[in-house]
Amino acid sequence: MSTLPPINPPEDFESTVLLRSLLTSLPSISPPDTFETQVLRSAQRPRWTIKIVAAVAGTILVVSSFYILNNEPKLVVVKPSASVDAPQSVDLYNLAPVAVMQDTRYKDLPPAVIHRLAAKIKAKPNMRAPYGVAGY
Amino acid sequence: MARASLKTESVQVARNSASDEDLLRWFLEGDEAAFVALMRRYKEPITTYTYRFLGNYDDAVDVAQETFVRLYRFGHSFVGEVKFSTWLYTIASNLARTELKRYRRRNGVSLSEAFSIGDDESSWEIPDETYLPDELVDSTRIAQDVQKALLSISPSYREMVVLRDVQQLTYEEIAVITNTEMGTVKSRINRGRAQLQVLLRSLYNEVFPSQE
Repeated sequence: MSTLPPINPPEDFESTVLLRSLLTSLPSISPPDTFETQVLRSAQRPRWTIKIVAAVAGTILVVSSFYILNNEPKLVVVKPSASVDAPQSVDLYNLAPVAVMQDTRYKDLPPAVIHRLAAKIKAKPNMRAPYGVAGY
Repeated sequence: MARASLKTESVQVARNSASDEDLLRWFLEGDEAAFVALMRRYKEPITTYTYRFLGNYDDAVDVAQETFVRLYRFGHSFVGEVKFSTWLYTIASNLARTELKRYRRRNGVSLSEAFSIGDDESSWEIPDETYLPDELVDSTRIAQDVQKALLSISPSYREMVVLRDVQQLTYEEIAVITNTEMGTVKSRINRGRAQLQVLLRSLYNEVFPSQE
């Protein structure tokens, strides 16, 4: 005589069996007749597309590289041009004398004004030149 | 001539009796007819699964076809860790879930609403009532009612109930297909069944009158 207790199934045992029998008896779904053809067409199409795209891209690459190589723009070499009037070399120890010209800008002013202007210029001995000096 | 036709016939018989893995290997070696044989073997189960999950015949066929297109292109990535059928169902399952997400996005159910909860148990909890059962596919009223009830439970439960009770797959296979722990698979199936029992109570009394 067995001493093991009986195992009671859960309360929803029967209803679960009924549910599972309903689910199992659901009909299979048949795909359309064109199923296989469409799959094969879809699966194979991209390969052809890739091949065509690769061929077109390759052609464009070859043509463009050929075009670039044959229409290479001519290089323009920029050379420093010698100034027209400047001497080619300067001998700092033998400079040619430069003619001194009289400043006639103020010749029409009265002498008193000219003296005042001269005094103003002398009052700013450290005034910087209006142009750059190398090193400063 | 007769010998050639006999040879063709014997090759066909070999294909029909070959294992899935052998057919896949032959296909990868260049035998396209092996791919067709695989497709003929699985097109109906896969379409049934996708239809029971999605509830729309056109979308189900589309997903099933895409499954075989993926098999055609990426068959070489099958490494044999699982059964071929499990691997194929995994592809179909992923595609069906993606299709369902896309459908929900198109039809206004926000993804954050449907998928925001990270907990495995409670993700996909929102029942999907937007699909209507396709009456042309399920010709009997019982089948229509069962399908309607299936579509009323949450997709995470539905997916597993369909794989277990309609497709008759094992818990281990379902765990692999859905990438879910075994315990979660069992609990989801139980919850899904419980919800279906509530939804189909009136049908029970009709189909099994002696139940009361």
